[in-house]
Amino acid sequence: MNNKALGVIFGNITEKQVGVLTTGRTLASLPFGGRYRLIDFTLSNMSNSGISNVGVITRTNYQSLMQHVGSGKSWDLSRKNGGLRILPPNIDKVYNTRWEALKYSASFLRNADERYVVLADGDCVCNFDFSRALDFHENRLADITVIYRKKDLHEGNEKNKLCFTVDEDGRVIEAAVSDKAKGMQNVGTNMYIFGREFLLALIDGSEEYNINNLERDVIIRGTKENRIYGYEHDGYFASIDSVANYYRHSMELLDRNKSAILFDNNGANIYTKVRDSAPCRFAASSAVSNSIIADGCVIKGRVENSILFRGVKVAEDAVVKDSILFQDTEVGEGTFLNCVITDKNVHILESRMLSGHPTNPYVISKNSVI
Amino acid sequence: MKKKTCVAMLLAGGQGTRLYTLTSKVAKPAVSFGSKYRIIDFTLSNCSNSGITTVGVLTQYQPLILNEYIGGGEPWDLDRANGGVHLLPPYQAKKGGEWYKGTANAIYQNMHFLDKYDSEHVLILSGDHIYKMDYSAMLREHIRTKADCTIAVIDVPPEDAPRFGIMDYSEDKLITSFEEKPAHPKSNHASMGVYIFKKEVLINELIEDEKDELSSNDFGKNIIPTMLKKEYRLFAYEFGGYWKDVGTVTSLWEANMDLLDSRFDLGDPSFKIYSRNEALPPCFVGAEGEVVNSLVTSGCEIYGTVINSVLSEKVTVAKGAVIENSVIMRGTIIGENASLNYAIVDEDVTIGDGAVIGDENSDKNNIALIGRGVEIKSGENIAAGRIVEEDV
Repeated sequence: MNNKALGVIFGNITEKQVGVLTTGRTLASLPFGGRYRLIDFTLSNMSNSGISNVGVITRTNYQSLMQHVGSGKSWDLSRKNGGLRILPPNIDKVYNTRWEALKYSASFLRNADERYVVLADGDCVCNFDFSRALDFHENRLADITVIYRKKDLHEGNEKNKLCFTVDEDGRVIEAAVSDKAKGMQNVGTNMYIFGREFLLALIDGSEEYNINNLERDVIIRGTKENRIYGYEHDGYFASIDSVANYYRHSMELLDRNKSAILFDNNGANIYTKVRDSAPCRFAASSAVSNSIIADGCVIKGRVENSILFRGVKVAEDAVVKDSILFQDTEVGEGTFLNCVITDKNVHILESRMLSGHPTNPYVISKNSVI
Repeated sequence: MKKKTCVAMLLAGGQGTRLYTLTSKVAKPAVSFGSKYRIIDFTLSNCSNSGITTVGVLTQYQPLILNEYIGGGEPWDLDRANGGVHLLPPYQAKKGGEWYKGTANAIYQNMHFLDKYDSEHVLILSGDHIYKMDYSAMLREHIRTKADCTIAVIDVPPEDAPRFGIMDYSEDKLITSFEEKPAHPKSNHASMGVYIFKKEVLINELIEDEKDELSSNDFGKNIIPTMLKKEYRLFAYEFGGYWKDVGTVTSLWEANMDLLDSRFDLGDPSFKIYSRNEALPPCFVGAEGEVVNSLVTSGCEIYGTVINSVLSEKVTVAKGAVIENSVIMRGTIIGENASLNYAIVDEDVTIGDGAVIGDENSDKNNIALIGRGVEIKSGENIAAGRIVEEDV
């Protein structure tokens, strides 16, 4: 397909925290949806869009991310030409913004020969076809295309995002920070398309043009000077920035209308690392309803409105309600869980009662025994 | 290139006529099994887990799906720079192409493969058994006893013995007799169709056997008995684990059901069974769904009831449907209020709303078979034991 564009994924440039779930891992490798990591969505979207040269910019805590992506084979990104590349941080200076990260990764952009660069965060949960957006970008002779979605905002429910005013042709005539925006807005997704040489010129001229920040100095300040266009993503979209919103977006997957379009967009699937678990075994005593159950699970108790990752074991007479249990969690006999998120390999022994609330789920950190 | 101690030759050409419609379009080793596997996954995973990384797969009958499935061998970690998995179809020779006449002839026709890798020993396997086995332990025994050939043996119920190669052996496992499918078996020590030969011995015997026009060129019928006659050192290697020949509809069904009560455990992390799987989201059980004593895997959506059954990837069970004691293969859609009991449903079947498969005569010896891609109309009744190959 096209080698029109190369991809750059920001592992977690803004250091968004999802409680203890991101103490040992970067946001991009946060488990999601029963068998995925957040970065699987962006990697799959790029791969499905024919983008086969992808750099992943990491900042801190990127060991779990590297283990997860490996050679990139699971996303068909293990290639002779291009493929997946980890761009680790500069030892002397940890960068704090997307722009700094891009500056330090400029050689990756410079050594490529693709015409365009697709930038995306590692926590964009969506099934998006970049190739159409690239056609749009090309067609409008744009310098920059921002991918946005329509969303009804009330004060404060979208922070640190951009809102765009777009004319009939799709040109962005104004961009502003979302924090105080209200009503139906075109909200940025942190996915962008740039002309590669245009982006490199901006990077090289950072000091001259006083550019330190992608959103503020390139997009908001650049709507007059640069040809910035907006392209709408009208499918499912989520980005994760807190435990509550991680929980809420995870639970949205139990709505089959949402998960169907997320996992299969005209044959474009979401890929992940294969673990070769056995099929899920539902024992004679099991009772499961409205739940996502991954391979390798053994269910002997009751599971309702929950998401169980690979290899979770629920013993007899245990009840798991409205909860998210990461890989290899074990729930003991007679234990009751409500609105609980367990990280990997948590063991909850017999007859425990743990409960959180949807707005404040009870999160149990990795390898804990309760 | 570093020489290998042992390469494997996997016989995967079997037609599997006793599986009827299930093997009308695919070779038996490629038939779906145990929710997310195909039969051949077990042998390939055994090789991989035993450190045997050069595997020739001899295909013949309906190889298309099997070839596509095995591909470069990556799921089994058999995509190797030195060795790896190789598909060996019958090929056009100078004298004209020949189909494999028998199991031994299949190896004979691929002697160039054995010459190329020139290992000391050759492991012969068949691709249609369900079991987990560490071949490296058997190889160690084979080397320790300085055997010319070692045959894996499992004790079967006496009434099943006439279906197998049956042998007798001494206390130190030296084989004294071997009879292929005897009418009156002298023991219940059955050959599992797993042999390790010294390569030189194997090559000699294959060449000799090929000269004999009366031979049916079969390991059990010809090669092994001849070697015994010639007083080669043949040893038995006792295998104590789970092993099942899935050559018949009933045995295929039983082997699937054996997974439900953990008679055969797929979950051992130190001996995984690998398979090639599509990228699919985990299974979803709806608010009114019910799944009891069953295996279910990625891509399944369950809105009805599933009891004592094994479901492969991407099976959808609509509201009100009830599936009992059945094996449903990948991509099949079960309509609303349909009911199935004692059925094996092949891949990509559509079962209409309210259709009923099975009746009061249904049991494990009367299993209804629904062929690949078949469409069963709403409200249709399919009797116990019926084989459906075309839309009804």
